[in-house]
Amino acid sequence: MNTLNEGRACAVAFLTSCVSLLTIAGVAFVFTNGLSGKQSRVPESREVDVEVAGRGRQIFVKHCAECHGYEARGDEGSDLHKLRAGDALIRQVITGGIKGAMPAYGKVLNDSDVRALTSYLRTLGD
Amino acid sequence: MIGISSIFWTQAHGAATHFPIAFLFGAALFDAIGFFLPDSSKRRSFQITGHWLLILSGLSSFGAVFSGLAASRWSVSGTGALLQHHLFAWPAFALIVGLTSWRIVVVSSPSRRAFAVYLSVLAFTCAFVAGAAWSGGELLMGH
Repeated sequence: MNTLNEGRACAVAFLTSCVSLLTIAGVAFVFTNGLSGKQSRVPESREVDVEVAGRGRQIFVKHCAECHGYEARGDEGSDLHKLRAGDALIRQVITGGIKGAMPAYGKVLNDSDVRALTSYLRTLGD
Repeated sequence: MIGISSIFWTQAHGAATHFPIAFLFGAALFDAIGFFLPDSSKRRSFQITGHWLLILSGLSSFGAVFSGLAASRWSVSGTGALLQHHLFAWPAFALIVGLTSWRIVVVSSPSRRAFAVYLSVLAFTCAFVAGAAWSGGELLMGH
């Protein structure tokens, strides 16, 4: 009896896992693609526009270098050469800050500035 | 929902993820202790506690996944650290849901062999959850 129950339970568990994952993927798909008419997605391009990155460098020097160092090697703030976050997260941290660690620049920098700054940060290697 | 700041969802995800993590590790601890105890009411008590902790972990994992998806703007893969986080998080979520379903469906006490397999998968799940937690922390706070 136990064996039968356990066999059925395994099948149910496997199916539930698959259904859950598919549902989550479906919800994500609907939110990303289904709403594309209402909200454009920002491409996560790894290609860096030199001109934009140059402007990002100027913004960095003006707003960020005091804590992160002029070479972005870290001072009071962290070393940005070791940044391993995606563009979206970088932009999010710039605009929203990190509680207790970094101020938010969402009201100081506009969207174009944040993108330029992100672009510059992308040029930093290890 | 889209209009709500992803900062809010990042903070919500940070809060929500700790529930399934704590419940899962608690379930693993109680179930493991129960497994090695001699057959007694005490063993049964440990297994019942493990049973409910796992169910709570399964339920709370949906909140963690939802807030995480909202924070990443509904990206199920991503790049860099986010991709690394997802490579741990998705198997962990599937395993948690699977284990929870298994424990809900097995009404009568599972055989000792089945429970040993369950504990092994649970340990595997804990490893994935630990990986997801670590990579998630690196994603947000990594220097």
